[in-house]
Amino acid sequence: MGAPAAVVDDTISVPPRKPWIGSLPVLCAVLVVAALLQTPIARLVDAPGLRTGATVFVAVCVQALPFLVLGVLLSGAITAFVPPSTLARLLPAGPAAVPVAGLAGMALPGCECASVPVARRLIGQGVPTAAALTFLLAAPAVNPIVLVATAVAFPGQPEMVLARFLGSLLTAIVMGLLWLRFGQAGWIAQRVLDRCSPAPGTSRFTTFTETARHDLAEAGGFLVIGGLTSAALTTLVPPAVFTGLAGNLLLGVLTMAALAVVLSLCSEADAFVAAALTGLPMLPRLVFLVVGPAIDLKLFALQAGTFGRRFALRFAPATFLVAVVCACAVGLVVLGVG
Amino acid sequence: MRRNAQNVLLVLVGGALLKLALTGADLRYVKPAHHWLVLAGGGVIVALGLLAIVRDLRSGVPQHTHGSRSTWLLLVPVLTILLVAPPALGADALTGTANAARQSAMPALPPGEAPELSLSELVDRAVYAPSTLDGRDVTIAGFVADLDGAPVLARMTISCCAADAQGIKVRVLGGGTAGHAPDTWLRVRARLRPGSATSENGNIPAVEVQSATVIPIPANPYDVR
Repeated sequence: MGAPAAVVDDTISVPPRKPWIGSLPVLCAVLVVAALLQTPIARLVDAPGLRTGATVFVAVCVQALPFLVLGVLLSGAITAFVPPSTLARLLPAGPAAVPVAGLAGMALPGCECASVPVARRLIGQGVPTAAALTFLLAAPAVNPIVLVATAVAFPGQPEMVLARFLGSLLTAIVMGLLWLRFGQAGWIAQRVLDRCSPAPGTSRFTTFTETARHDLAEAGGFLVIGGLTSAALTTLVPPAVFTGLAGNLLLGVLTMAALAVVLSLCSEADAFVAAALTGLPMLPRLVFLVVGPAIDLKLFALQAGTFGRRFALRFAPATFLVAVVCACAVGLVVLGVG
Repeated sequence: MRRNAQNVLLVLVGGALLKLALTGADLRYVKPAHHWLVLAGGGVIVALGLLAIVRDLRSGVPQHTHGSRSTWLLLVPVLTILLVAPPALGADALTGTANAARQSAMPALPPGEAPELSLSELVDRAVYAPSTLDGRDVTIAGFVADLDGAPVLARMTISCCAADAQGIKVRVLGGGTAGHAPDTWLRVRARLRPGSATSENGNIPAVEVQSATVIPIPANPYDVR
């Protein structure tokens, strides 16, 4: 079978460092020390503020990891079973690929963590970057599960579901078109653009599991960063700071957009949180629902880890602005002012 | 992080998820509907790690490829889950925000001495159909907490995971929960004080407590809505 790691391991271009000690002994040492210090560690985390933060952190990880697994299984399947020629045939050429990719997002029933590795492997399989990024933004927000959850959270207000669908789709398409116009391939880490070509003689199953394993190990750490940040901010910033500021419409829109980024909620759950903020007009709540699945702290960390920091530092703020503007535009048309 | 260490760590991450799902402790963090996702997710992560380990052992070629350093961070959830096992959200996480009451069909209470209601059902009824509670005792359960110096009985509700938790609170009149430390779970027989839930006080109803018994924390600590 040769060296299976070479199948998809795109990190071997890193010049071989010679660490004085291997990773595995370090890992074992950390585990042994942690197990010995269990009682003091547990006592430390038992302080009231830390305890809530630890619960929220574990909750974000436990909730998001299965969806990340779904994403990496899909990314593995795309690499192993979908030849680039098929994808090229499915997508129309030129800018028309962007809206098609946005609508294709309806087919991935998961939340945002699943779509990052999928978008990465789509690029690796030759899908135009603009179309893959549109898919990345659309998938978590326009899939049936999220739309049904929104309908349940806002009973008797189907216009909210419509507004969310249109706002998110528009955000994804505008970002795709902006990428076509201004995007530079150089912003994306080289490893993403390298076509992954399996070593000859590798079985498809090996390619599938190795790609999934690799993407999981790469993205998992960044999911943890996102979980830690959102747990810290959720615990440290009292919600009254946000609801108190929401007095006027403009301020409400901006605070809800910021809140969506900070909380990093699962796109299946955010509608219930938005529905509970009964003191707010509909427009800021729509902004919350459109911004959250497009960009939040967890996603930013995942994007930086997957596509590179140069990419994330440009893409994330642009997504934030476009999402706020698209949500407001759609909201004013579909929901009216207020 | 080297490939062989990555694989061991992946097995640990998957194992931690499996442990949560198999012991039912996952209900402290996510809603019951996610139980199968946690179980399947943990299983797949363990399988991916083990497959790679077996493959490397069989090929006999030492794998010295380096992956990204960020993978080390996966140790944080593993150690937190296996060593700390943070409890379900409780009194510390309670804030003074308004109760989220929902309007739905609210038939008359079932007959009987004091029918069981979840705290969110009680709040929904107190806000939208208070007449269904006229002259009736109900049995409710929740943990003891202190909200701005006033005693409350509360339960967290989640719609996906504990990161989106919101507290449902009921004020306790007449010292009905006095003597119980915060986070003690109680089942109480109580009667709504009519008109006590208003939009001015954040839809937080008040109840008079007839009797209270200490109960263990429920298997599912959250109200799922």
